[in-house]
Amino acid sequence: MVDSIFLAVSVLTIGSAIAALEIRSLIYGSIALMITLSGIAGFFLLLDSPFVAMFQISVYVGAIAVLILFTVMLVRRELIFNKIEDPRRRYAGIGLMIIVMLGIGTIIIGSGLKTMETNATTVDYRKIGEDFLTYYSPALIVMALILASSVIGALVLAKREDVTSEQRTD
Amino acid sequence: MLFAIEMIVNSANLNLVAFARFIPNSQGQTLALFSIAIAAAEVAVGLALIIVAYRMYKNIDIADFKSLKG
Repeated sequence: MVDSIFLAVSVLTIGSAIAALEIRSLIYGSIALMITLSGIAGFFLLLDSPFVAMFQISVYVGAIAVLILFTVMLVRRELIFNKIEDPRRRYAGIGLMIIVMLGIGTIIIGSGLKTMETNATTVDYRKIGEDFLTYYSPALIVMALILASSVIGALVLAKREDVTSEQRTD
Repeated sequence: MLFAIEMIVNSANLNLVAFARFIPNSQGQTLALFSIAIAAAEVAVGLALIIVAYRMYKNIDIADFKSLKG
């Protein structure tokens, strides 16, 4: 049962990831990216971590994907990304991917994890919340400051008035 | 570009949670949550940079950006 769900989610995630990178239209690419992120949330659910799955859905699918969609609609009018593609770069990318996958595979096989089954207990989300507010509370404060400063920085960048099209160099 | 970065970050998070399933405490999931929050901050700044670049060049193709001077 879990295997069939895993296979379905894998096909959905990897297929839409390839689609997101290969489709010329940026809008359809963003929607495919949204499906990929939802698929990753499904993986988190399969891994018995529903808290991370909910966080993934609310942050990625709810915020980041919508933000990307808005930016794409704001920025492009014709919405077609006609880039010049070098086929050698594509082959180099595929080769690099195979090398990295082989390396990670040998590391995992050599690491002593012989079985996919584990009898470790699942982590309760209450434990995660408790950790956040006790041991990780300084990190949580730093995280809040980073988020606030990144939002302020994004606002300052986007609201600059002195950047005009006269500064084009071509 | 940004799509690819998002996917790499997501796969790293997936690895974190998957291997944290083998240890009985909650450190792996906590680290994954922090990583997701950092990625959100990065996307906000990245999209603001894209908007600035679009205003300067009327284009978002990075091959066309010849200078990064503000």
